[in-house]
Amino acid sequence: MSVEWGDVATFTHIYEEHRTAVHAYFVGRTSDSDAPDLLQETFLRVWRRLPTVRVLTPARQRAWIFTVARNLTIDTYRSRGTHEAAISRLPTTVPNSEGPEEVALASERVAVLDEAIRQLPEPLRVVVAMHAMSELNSAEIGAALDIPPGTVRYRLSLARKRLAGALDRTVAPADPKRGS
Amino acid sequence: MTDFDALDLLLDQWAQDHRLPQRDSDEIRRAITAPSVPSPAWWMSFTTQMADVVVRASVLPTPNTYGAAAFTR
Repeated sequence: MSVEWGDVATFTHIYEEHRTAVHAYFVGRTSDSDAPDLLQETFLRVWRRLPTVRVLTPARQRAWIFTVARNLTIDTYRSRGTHEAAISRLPTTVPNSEGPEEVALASERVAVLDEAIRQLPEPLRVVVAMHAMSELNSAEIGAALDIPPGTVRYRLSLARKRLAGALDRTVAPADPKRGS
Repeated sequence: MTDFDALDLLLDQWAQDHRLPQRDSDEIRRAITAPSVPSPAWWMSFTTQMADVVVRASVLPTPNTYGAAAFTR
């Protein structure tokens, strides 16, 4: 393939436009450790098919890229034999025990949230990751995942309730006034 | 009860912790395009090797073809 500087510039633009959402998708579907490799493989395919991808509108580029990303995830699961193997390797954020008490408490709550996100069913975890880590709205997440925007909103709402519940159960200080 | 504003703040922090650092992102982009676009280090290495080849070629003695030609005559 003959590559010109203009191709690199075009690719860089596409990469910068979509990389955050694609990485968020892989964090949600696989793990922090797998996400960079899958991100690279996804955009390597974009690079190889640049003449095709470059002429698409940004929305269709996103759809094209996420189709590649979804297929790559399926291939990864298939090669590992089990989906749970990937999920079990999701890292847990280690709370920072140093510094002011507020910082330590916030870190602890983020660690609890991390564990709660890890425990979410995959469809909920993906929309949470994409919503939190990228700037995509429900319609854009839906287009990327090939599901209706209403389904994205429903999953997000359900996930938020579960996460709030998990935080309450785990880190809420004991309140002697509260009856059991 | 954890209110959703507090949850959003925690989710922001969680997202911050999980985002790919810019340095890593740039490295991935470069790895994809690198084979087609040599880095400055590659060019430096290439020109150094070329200079070595030129120097070696210029200091090698010229084969004495006169003698050989006379001997076979």
